[in-house]
Amino acid sequence: MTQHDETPKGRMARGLAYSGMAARMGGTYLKYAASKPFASESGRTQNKKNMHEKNAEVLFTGLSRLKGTALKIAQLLSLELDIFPPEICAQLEKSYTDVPPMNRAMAHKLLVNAYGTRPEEVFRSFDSAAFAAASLGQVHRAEDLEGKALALKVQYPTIRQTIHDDIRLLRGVLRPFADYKAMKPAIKEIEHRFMEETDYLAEASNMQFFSDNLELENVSIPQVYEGLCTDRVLCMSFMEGQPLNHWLATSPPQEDRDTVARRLNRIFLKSLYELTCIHADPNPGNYLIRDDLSIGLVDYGCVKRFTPEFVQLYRRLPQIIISGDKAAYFAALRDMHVVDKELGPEVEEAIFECAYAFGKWLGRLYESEYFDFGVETGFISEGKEIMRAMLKQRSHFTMNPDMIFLDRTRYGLLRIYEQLKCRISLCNHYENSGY
Amino acid sequence: MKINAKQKAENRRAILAAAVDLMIESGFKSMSMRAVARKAGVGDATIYNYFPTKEALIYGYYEESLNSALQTLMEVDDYEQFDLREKLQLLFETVLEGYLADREFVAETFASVFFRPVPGGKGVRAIRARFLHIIGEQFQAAADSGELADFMFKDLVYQCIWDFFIATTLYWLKDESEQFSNTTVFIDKSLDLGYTMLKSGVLDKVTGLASFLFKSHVLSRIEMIMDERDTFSRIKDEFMSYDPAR
Repeated sequence: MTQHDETPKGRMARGLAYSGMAARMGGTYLKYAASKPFASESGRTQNKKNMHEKNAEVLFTGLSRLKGTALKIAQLLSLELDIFPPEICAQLEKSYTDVPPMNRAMAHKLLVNAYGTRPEEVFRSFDSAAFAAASLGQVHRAEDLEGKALALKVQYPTIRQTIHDDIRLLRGVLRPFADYKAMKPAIKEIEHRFMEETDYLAEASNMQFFSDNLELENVSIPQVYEGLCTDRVLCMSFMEGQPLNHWLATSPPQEDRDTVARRLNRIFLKSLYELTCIHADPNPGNYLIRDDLSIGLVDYGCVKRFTPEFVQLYRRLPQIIISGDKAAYFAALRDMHVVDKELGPEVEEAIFECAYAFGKWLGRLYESEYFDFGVETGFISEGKEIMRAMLKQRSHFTMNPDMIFLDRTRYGLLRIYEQLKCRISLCNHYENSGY
Repeated sequence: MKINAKQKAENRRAILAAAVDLMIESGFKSMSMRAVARKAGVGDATIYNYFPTKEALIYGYYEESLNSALQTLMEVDDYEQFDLREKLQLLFETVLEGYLADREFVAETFASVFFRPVPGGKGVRAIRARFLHIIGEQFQAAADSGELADFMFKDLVYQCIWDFFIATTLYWLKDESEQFSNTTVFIDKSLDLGYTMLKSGVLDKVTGLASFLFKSHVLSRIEMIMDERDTFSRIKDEFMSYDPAR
């Protein structure tokens, strides 16, 4: 296989790719601004919609020309901000797992660097062509000297510098946009997380933690081969199974989809409420589905730990919101340091109104024993509207990073349930035992 | 005493290893052939069968490291599946890995051996010939598999790769990044560019351009000269046919 691709490398080339993107996006905005005074109300909405789609498209082509960081940013944008139209989301989803890999010689070199000797001496076999892309690296098959199947995750040697440069460029690209201020903390968070994700020793210890503690039936976690791990090479046992999005493309029956969703939900609940530590990267590529529908949970680059106190408080939140007890709600927010300031009664009322709408929305998940994502197709977009209204009040909140991670993971899981069109019982003894 | 080829190769390697060690310890000037022979465990006279001079030791080292790099390449599991660009990259990296243990020695000798305005003597030519041969084989494999279309000026391209290799080694000797990752990236990116150019047939386009320039400039000048010649012969004719009596 030739790995010749059009990825621009080097800061200059990457800068050009980005700035070309900014110029083109700026152009689209100008066109919209120029046609605005003449368009009718409905025409204007249509125009605006067209413009968004056009921009998303341009942004995507721009981002997909850059590997690594950009890919990851694209993923985050599609998962979190949800700004892309469905066609582009489909494209992006493909990119979760299908990325043009680093070439064979490079992969070989990376292992030589990591082990100080040739891979042929460390492994019985090593396939220098990657079988999967990790967001900031790629995964290779290998066999240890006893013949056990391994997966090796490796990263490009200067990836950390590249991330740094990319983020700086991204800031430059986004600065002209009105929303830049709101995006700023997000970009900072992204950079921080990228740096974390490139430390494979940290990831190895996360993986070890889950494999020691999660212990769920039908869920398996790769075994870490500590002796073969370095900060740039992660060595683990090979996991069979298809990535969730590939598996879904084979049109599995309802019953199977329900089973998978139930298992995903159990992973989340047990991690949060018993281990107070979650796998915070609900990307469909990270769930490997096997023939017996058991789940292989991979990629521990983004793991979030919480204090038990926080989890205790969080546990009560859904019930409080659903019950509509205003005093208890604000008390909980204060305890979780989400609200620190004294709020005037008007603001409190406005926030609570949003929260109440949110609670009603969330409550629907718990209302009856089973929630059918196949029937309630508009559920998530409805929730998104409510969250948007909530965001208007954000100046009154202190953004608790724990909360951001948790919400992101939960939201990501709901999105997956929606894609699965599953019928699932979300009631659980952790959150439904009163407060 | 007759010794077999294997023994011979081992002796050769032992002598080279001893020479490298001694040169790192005490420098080229104060190193004596006898000291090398002693350290390598061969006879004082025997060493001259392998390397007639101290310089030959240095050239011998670089030739040997090419050979052992090639050996290492062949041992890579799926080497046959590598494309040309990857093979080149692997060759470069493997040679540099070989230099790593003897980095001081390479730093001491490399520039003086390879990097001088006037091409070196027989010793350097032999190393270059070996290198060009390896490159030539890699290109041939790519041509056989249909990966790369035939192109002009092969020798020139091979020569460029040789020069590029020397430049890379000099870069590597100055590289202070962790695990020389800057060199790795340097090789990766420059080969990417070079290979893309080769694949897209830039060279043939350049040749096309050259022949166009040649035709439009040089040949048109010749025509001008032809014109001049005509003028000249006309004058000559006129002169010769001039009849003062008329």
